[in-house]
Amino acid sequence: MSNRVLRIRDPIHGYVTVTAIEQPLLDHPITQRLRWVAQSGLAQFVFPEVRTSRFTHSLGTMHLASRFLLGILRNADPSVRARLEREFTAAVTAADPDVELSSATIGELQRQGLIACTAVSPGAAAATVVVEQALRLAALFHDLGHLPFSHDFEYVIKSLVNEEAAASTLFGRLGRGKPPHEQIGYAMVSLIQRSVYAPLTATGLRDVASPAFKLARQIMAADEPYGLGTAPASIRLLHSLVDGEIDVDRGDYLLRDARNYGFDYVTFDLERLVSSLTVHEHADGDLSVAILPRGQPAAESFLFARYRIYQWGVFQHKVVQLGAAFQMISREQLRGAFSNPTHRLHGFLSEIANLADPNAESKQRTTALEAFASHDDIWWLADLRANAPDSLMRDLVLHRKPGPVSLWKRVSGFPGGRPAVEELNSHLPQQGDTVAEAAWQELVQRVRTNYGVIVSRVRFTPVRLDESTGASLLSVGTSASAARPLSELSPLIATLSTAWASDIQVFAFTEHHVADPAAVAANVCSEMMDTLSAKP
Amino acid sequence: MFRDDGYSVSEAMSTSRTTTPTPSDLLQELRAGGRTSGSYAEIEDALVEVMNRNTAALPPLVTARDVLVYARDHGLIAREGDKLVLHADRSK
Repeated sequence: MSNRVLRIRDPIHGYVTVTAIEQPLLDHPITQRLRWVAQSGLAQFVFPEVRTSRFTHSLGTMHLASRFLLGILRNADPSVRARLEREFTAAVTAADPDVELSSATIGELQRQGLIACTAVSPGAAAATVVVEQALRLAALFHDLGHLPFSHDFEYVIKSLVNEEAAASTLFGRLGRGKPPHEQIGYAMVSLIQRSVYAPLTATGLRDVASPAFKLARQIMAADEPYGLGTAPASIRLLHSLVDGEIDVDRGDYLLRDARNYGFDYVTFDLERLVSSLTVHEHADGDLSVAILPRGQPAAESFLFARYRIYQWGVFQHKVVQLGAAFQMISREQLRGAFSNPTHRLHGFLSEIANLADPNAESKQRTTALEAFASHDDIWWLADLRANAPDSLMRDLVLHRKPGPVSLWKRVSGFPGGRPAVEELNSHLPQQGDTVAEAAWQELVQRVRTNYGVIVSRVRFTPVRLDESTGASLLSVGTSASAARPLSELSPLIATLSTAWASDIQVFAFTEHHVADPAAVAANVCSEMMDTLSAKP
Repeated sequence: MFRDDGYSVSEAMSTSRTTTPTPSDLLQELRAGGRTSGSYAEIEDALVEVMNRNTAALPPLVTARDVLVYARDHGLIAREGDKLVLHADRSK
């Protein structure tokens, strides 16, 4: 075993330390592919320096995974920490009954950057080392399955599958199931593990790697909505550290992206936040991430930072416009490719479907894994350049050529101002309301036909609430029994949902220049309000 | 306002609303197929199959997870012990 510990210089976190188990994974072509998948998708076409990659973001996320885990263990109530130690030990034993780590191995992994075992009793150190490694793998892999240009491309795939290929055994699961990038990322973990078997064996750490990979898959799979989770509570807690209200994913991308957006007002005190993390044990035995009272200002800043990066970056009107244009031209290229084996993109679609399908033949999946390594943002841009027919939307995406016009950019430009924005938002379909959503889709199509206007709705949850109580799911307390929802203790947090209800959630663009955009905007708004406010 | 094919908006809307399955309809189809409880993953997978059978009548970007979140908020599904249990829609 080499004495050298790999440390990667990072502008956000200083140095990111990489364990010997992680090194062959970083070198894998599938992980390297993330260098060429933009973290912020199309935002770089509006904010030229927002070119952070999902590779650097994944490294930062992995780094924070250790810090967040250490934070919650260090600050947990002793009884809750003892429970976590028991459940970590049971989970590791279930993953590999033969695992037995020497103190030398534990010490070596500490030297390589695993830190959480310093917060537990000696008897739980070995299990905690494995759990920390698993959490870091889940963090490193959380974006592995992202398709070119991430979410915008994914929406195209999902809608086309549902329109053209829902009955297909191969493609059907990509439409109504978990997001394709989650399905692909989860399924690829075992493929990648197999492909790095030799280098992992050479590290002498296979006893840690084997259960860590199994647990990483369990953590990734525990993507269950609040109140509906059936995975073990400790696994769901670990999942929420990667994908939760205050998590390592957001903790990294907020600081990393804000830096390149040039948004000095998007920041939070990472040190204070990490040092204030703890665990709340609910009456029914559930576990959730919570913060100590001293962390309240850091948590407030965190949630405000997220709101602002969405408000002024992700949902900047031109970024939304580019997203709509990208989806339109990408959709045209992919239409018909699912059912036509001779279509130039059929192979790519089969590849991602095979990757996402754990029941596909091993050889097909291995071939698909190799091909997936080259399907990144650059590949798709080159394909669009070669094949997308001339159009204003193509020019907008490929050459950033002005053309489409936003009918409103922010609240001040919306016909009727803030009261009208609030009225419109109050009638938008609730998540999962199939009937209201179908009516909305019909309205969007009608506005397109009647006015030549593209309507694009953006969705965002500034702070997750328990629907039955309206209280924030993030709690604050000095102990488990004293915890209270953050929205009760912080009037600032309580205002975030109100602010979002008053913000632009629907954008509209004309494809071509129009003589009187204000009049078109007024007509479009009027039609939307008339339709949405009509009782069924 | 009339569409090109001559249907009024209200007629088109009412047609759409009677043919689009509600979350309750989808869960009822799940129950009718014998799935009344299970882990989150089992329920989600089974619901994906139901939605795929009804895909032509459903909006393209609504997922099984969306429907389950809606069902949770409307008392159509709840966790009991370590399982999710589907409840009958009492409003019907």
